[in-house]
Amino acid sequence: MVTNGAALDCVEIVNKCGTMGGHLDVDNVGKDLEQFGDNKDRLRCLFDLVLSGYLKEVTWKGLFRPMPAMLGNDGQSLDLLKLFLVVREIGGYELVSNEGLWAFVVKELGLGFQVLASVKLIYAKYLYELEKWLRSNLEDRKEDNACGGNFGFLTLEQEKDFRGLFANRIGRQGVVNKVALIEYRKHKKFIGKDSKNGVGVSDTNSRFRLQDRVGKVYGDDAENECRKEFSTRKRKRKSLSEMLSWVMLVAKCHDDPSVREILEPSKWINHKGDEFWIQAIRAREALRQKRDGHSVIEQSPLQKNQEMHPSMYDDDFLNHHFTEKLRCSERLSRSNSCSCSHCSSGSTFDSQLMCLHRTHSECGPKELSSIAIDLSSLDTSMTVEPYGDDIFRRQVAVGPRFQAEVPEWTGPVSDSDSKWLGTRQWPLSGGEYDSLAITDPIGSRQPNSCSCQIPNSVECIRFHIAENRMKLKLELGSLFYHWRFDGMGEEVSLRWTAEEEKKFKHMVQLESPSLNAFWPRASEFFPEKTWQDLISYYFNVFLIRRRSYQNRVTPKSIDSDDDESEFGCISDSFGSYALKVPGSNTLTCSQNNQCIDLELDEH
Amino acid sequence: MRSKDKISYFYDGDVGSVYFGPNHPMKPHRLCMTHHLVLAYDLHKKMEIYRPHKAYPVELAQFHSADYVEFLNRITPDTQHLFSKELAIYNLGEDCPVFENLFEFCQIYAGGTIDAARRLNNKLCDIAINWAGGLHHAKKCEASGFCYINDLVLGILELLKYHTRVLYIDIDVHHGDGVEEAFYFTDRVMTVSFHKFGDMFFPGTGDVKDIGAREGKLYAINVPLKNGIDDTSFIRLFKTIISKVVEMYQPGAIVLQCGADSLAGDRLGCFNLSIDGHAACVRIVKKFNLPLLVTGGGGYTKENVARCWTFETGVLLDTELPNEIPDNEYIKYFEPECLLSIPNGHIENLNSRSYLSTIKMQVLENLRSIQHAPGVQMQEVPPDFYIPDIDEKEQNPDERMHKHTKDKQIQRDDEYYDGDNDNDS
Repeated sequence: MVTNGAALDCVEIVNKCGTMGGHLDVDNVGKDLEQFGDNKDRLRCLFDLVLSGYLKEVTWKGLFRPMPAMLGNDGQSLDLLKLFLVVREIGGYELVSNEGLWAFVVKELGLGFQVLASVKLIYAKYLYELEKWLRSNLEDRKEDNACGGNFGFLTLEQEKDFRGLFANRIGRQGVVNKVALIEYRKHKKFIGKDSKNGVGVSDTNSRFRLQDRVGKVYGDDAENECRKEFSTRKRKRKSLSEMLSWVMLVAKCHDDPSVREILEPSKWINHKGDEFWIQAIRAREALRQKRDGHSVIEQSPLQKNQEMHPSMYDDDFLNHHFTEKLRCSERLSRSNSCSCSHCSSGSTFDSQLMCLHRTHSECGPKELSSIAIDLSSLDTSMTVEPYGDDIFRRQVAVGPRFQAEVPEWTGPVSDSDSKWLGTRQWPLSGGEYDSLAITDPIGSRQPNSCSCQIPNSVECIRFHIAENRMKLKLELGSLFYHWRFDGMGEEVSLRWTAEEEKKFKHMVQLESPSLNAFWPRASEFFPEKTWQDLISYYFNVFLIRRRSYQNRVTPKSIDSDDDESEFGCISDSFGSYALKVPGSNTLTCSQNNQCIDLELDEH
Repeated sequence: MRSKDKISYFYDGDVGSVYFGPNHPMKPHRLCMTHHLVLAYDLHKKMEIYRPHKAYPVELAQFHSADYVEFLNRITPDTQHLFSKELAIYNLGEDCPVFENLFEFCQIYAGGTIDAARRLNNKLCDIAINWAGGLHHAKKCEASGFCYINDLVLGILELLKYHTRVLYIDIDVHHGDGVEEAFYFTDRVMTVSFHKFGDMFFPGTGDVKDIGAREGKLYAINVPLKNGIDDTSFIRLFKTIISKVVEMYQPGAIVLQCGADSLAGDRLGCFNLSIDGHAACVRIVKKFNLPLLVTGGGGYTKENVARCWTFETGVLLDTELPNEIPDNEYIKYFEPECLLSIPNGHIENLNSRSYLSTIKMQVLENLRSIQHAPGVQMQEVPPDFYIPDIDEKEQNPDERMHKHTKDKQIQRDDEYYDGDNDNDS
């Protein structure tokens, strides 16, 4: 129900956040997004369908596979589709196991090494069968028993769709960073040893430096392709994505030459350049301001915009997240070299940058390892739904500030709330109920059943409106006023003098009601009228008359809800004159006057 | 066929004069027009009309955070410049402006829905209508999408005092995110929302994959649709899903949000539904003969909102309304045709058969999983022997759904389903 601006804003922020941490390779995300689009959703949809179908079959056989698949005891759920795609792209379960690439898989998923065993187990239990089935189908399509095994529940069309999507996806450059994989294979043993200390620091660095060089040397085709795609987009997006990839690069490789360009914080404000580092700092500033406006004590800003995934809500996870952040800022406050005020209130991204800034100036080997940890925690928290369309998808916010408290059902609660059931107004009670209304119901009001001289003429319609109004008034009695029928329709104009009406019309011509200044101005123009009077006049008289004009002049394009449309054309024919029709000069509001008389009598 | 249902209709004359501000698409004046048209069609003679009480802050705080309610109560257009920080926190401003009598407006529409739920609870009526309610975007601690207080959540919480399970259905063009979010963790409320999804359409939530979490997992259903859906496909989808939901979930009461922005020609909407199509959903839900709370919602082309809700009041009263609109004060808004029906929409229907079928399959698949899920409180059906204190003559609505009717529904659904499959493959 909202103007697009706000929605766009939101999505943009979510998008930003998602892109920043959501994926190791920004270009890939963009690419996914553009290339897969709708397919992405279908793939996930189908994958979920296939998986749930398969698991059901398995359950039927007596094996228990709970969903969602949880990692260890932290209750962190695992994105099975991504796991599946990563493993598949590397070459399948057996290859990954034989070559000992599970650590790489875990890293690609943005997870810590402590869950390595669980990930492997989950793959074996949930996905291995699916992999085998899919491979057999893809390799050997001639065989008719393709639908056999555990996947007979799929309709032919679904199966075709599913296979098609996978073939499509796998044909292209997918989720896995190939260069990193090659590097990883080279350094595999080294990482294996180091994995106890979180991410092997020296390894990560060398690996990404290598990756960078490799990319440059080979002039990676995929990358070029991405650049091309981005250039067709808006400029802003391009620089943003490049800035983000720079942040990623720096995060991975702190001694990159470009990091040395960063100036002291005191010089940030006046810096005129447009280097990536200053863009990143500005982006951070913008994010911070945005968040400060919205922040609620219990939430970190990024989470709020991000609308965390329910499975991420587990306390363990949050604690982990926060302690990491705290540790980071603590370190910062200890080192006075950084006198930036944002640090303490920093979001993860905040502290991230600050850490970086610090490390480049006086980095010691010990701190590096914690940076790596920070990075990994950032990755996990951001990896909500790491691909394509899902970045645009807003998650349902969960937590005590969002859900209603629903008590357990213990039987009907008969508290004393029956006293507030509303006040009956109709049918009228007791003497107020007019017997006339029963014997003479309002009945048929079809215009063609009237005995007017010229049926459907303006007079005729006005007469019937007034007639019905009087009947209704008789019938409703005091309710007529309770329901504000006395303030409905053009009758409202009778409380205005001709002079006042002219003034209102004049004012509308001076200033469009679509402007915020209109109503305050109107109050100044008519000090004796309340704002309710003015608004009532606007809706009941002004708009109806404008509408009546439109009905005759531009019946094809009518929009009575449009405050913005021009009133100029109405000019002189507007106001009570608008009701005149050629040849009926003598039209007076006799019916209305009667009505008013009646009202006065009764009061 | 004359209706035996007892209908309570809520209206307060004060809502008509509420004004959100220049250029704001939400115009409470539409409620005034609706009420006027309802009376012009003589529908008031077939029902009871109530003036709702103004809900107290403490009642609103049954769902909303006390600080938020307090702030809504305190803020006025004249003082808002002093609270820019709070305005940002509570998401007030652009979409949800602070206007004169804001809090009173909230109290009235929320009071209406709460009263409606209480009347249903006390079996004082079978169907309760509050066109002023249905502001489904409001969140626990903040306003959103023209909604300040979430009367639906409050109404459902009220119904939960007497019913084990409540079903919430939302046919507004926007996702019913506030209600879904409020009951995301509970299986005592099933939320089903049919809405436009994608293209950054507000509010951005409501993917078919969002199905609830924890105990509430599988108890949130989203039917994301694309632009231009027409009567035929919408009704088919609605009927299939809702029949299945009612069959599986066996709710004690239903809350139906009838946002009229899903109609063709809405200022903010993008569907092609006619009033007949929109009302068909109401008809389907009414047929379950469960206690039913009907609210309004979105709807930004005033005269169509008035047409739609008047027509649906007629549907709930089993009264066929003549297409010619009787003369009344607002007749000019309905000119030149002065008809109850609205012109067909011309937005291209982007919902392909296969898309709709995928969505339907996914939803039905999730629904089937409920059956297998252990620990669902199905055994705790509201006690049939519960005797209302107030009116013993009133038939217990839970009993009214006889086995016979149930069987018939299942059969109908199957028939339809087969046919559908044929078409799709």
